[in-house]
Amino acid sequence: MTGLLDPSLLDWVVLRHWQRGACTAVTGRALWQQATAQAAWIAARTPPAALVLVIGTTGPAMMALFLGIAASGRRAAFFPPASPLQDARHFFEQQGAALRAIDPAAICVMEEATAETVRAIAPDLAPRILAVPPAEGDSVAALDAFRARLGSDETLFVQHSSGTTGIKKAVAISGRMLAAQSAAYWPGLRAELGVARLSVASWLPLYHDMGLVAGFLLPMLGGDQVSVLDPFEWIGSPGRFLEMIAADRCDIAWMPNFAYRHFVRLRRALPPADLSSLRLWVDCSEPCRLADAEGFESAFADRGVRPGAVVGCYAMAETVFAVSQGSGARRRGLAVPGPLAPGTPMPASGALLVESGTAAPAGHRLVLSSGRVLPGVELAILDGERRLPPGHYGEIALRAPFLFSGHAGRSAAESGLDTEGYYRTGDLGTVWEEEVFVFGRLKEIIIVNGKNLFAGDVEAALAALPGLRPGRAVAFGIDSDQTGSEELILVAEHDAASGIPEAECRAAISRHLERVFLVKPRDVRVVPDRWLVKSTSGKISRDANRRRYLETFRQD
Amino acid sequence: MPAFTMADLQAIAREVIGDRDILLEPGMAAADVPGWDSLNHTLISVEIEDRTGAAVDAQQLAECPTFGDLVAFVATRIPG
Repeated sequence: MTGLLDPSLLDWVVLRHWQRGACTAVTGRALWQQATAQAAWIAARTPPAALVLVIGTTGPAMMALFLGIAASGRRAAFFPPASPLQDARHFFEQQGAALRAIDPAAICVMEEATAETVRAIAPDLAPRILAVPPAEGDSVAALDAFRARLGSDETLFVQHSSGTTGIKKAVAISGRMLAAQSAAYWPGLRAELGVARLSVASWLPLYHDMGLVAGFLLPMLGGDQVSVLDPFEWIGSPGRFLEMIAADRCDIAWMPNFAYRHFVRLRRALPPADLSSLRLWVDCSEPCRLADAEGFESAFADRGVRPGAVVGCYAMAETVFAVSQGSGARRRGLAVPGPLAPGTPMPASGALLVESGTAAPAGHRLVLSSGRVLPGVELAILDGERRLPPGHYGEIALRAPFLFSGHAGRSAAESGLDTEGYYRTGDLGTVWEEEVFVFGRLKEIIIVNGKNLFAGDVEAALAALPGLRPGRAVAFGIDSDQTGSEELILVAEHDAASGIPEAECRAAISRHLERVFLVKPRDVRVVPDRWLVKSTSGKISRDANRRRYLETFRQD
Repeated sequence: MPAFTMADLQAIAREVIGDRDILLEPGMAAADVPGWDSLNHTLISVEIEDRTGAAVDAQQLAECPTFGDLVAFVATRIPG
């Protein structure tokens, strides 16, 4: 292999698709033959540069379609499908607003049942819905077309932020950005594992940057091999992911922090799969916790998971994916004593760098290092407009050869880009002894199992629910040792005059938030009138109510 | 007498979700219970199987419209 999309990959198995315990192996030739046929099919139905959404079950057909759309000069994007456990009609009713906001030229639906549902609930979108035919043909011309696009600044695909119905941010990724991300990220991973080709294991959704870029596009570009399982199959049968790793001898996987904790909780019910081949488990997309990394390694040591195998990564859609990457050889943690104010020097804060296996001092939380920045990334730590010296806590800003140029429909400044080309991420953290640690946010975002929610959006969504006092609800997140993620907590004041019992209100809030945000609140409390605490400015205070909630309901 | 009851399901849900205030009624469903998400659903399924010996999986239990249906379904799958 020399460059990206080297034709030699046509003769190798590049994709192993697992479904209910059975594997279909797909060569590069078969995948790109399908992509070529789909490129011609979509080119006949949409104008150049059109935005084309793809909805469906993870598998070779959907992946080939995405490659074909991008190769054809259209802009490709994945959109989440309804879970088999959800009412598809409810799901797409809620997602209709997001689909209209994205305003795609075409919506390619892999399963006819989904197409029928979307047509039924959104007749205005029906003309844009395309049922995807089977792809047939001998040509692999899409491979060359896709490779040519890697040198272009035109949009290759689009990543949408998730979590709310009114999908707010679209990040356009060009071929040049994707190629630059590959050049900065992939060689280091291959060197870490000592392999010429990676063997990636993924159950991650393709509409999320981690699944799309790390679990699909970068391996495809590099001629690596990906073993994939649909995310809904992973949720229902997590053991199949481990069996897939064992069968395919995969050597690297990316998962959000909650998944490591979930596997530990499920351990005794999981099959005895040999995981010794998988030497790099990358923890990403939500705050990385050293305790969960070590807990996973300990729980699965008898199945071959090595100490130090779980490493952190800092990534975001705005940089295509990775900004920094941890290494097993130098994995460290940061023991943080409590909330820090931006501008705080780390050594003076009482925070400590700790080695793996070290217990945190009492009252400290242990943050897993997200490793060192990738080549070409310049990272700055800010307090307001002031740039801080190394070793301080503050907002993370960065620039890189693969940084976006702004969210769709927003100016560079509105997107957080300054005049020097730095992107203000809104994440809080530090760089200490060259290691990146991310452990706070400027914005009131709650990250539940990798999904970002804005607290204000969640509170606003309750406005119309009967039985509650309008505008008297608060949403916040709480770090959970049990789940390894943040928990969404809702506290809402009861309108006793409505006659609706509190228990009914609680259930209604739970149902409503799941439908609107696709996230289940961990706890909902319906409290009496005037229970919520206001700040001195008269606004309902999330911090004060978080403290009151913990004191009132979580004193175990 | 069924060998698996609403009280058994409630005890498992409280333990897995970590909320001792959870109250389950036969007419309720998972959507009504804060904390009963898809990950906890899998854990609850595993606990039910482990404690009762019933051959059930997460998908089958998710297809039960209410907790009353779920309890009845599990009761039919308990060996012996």
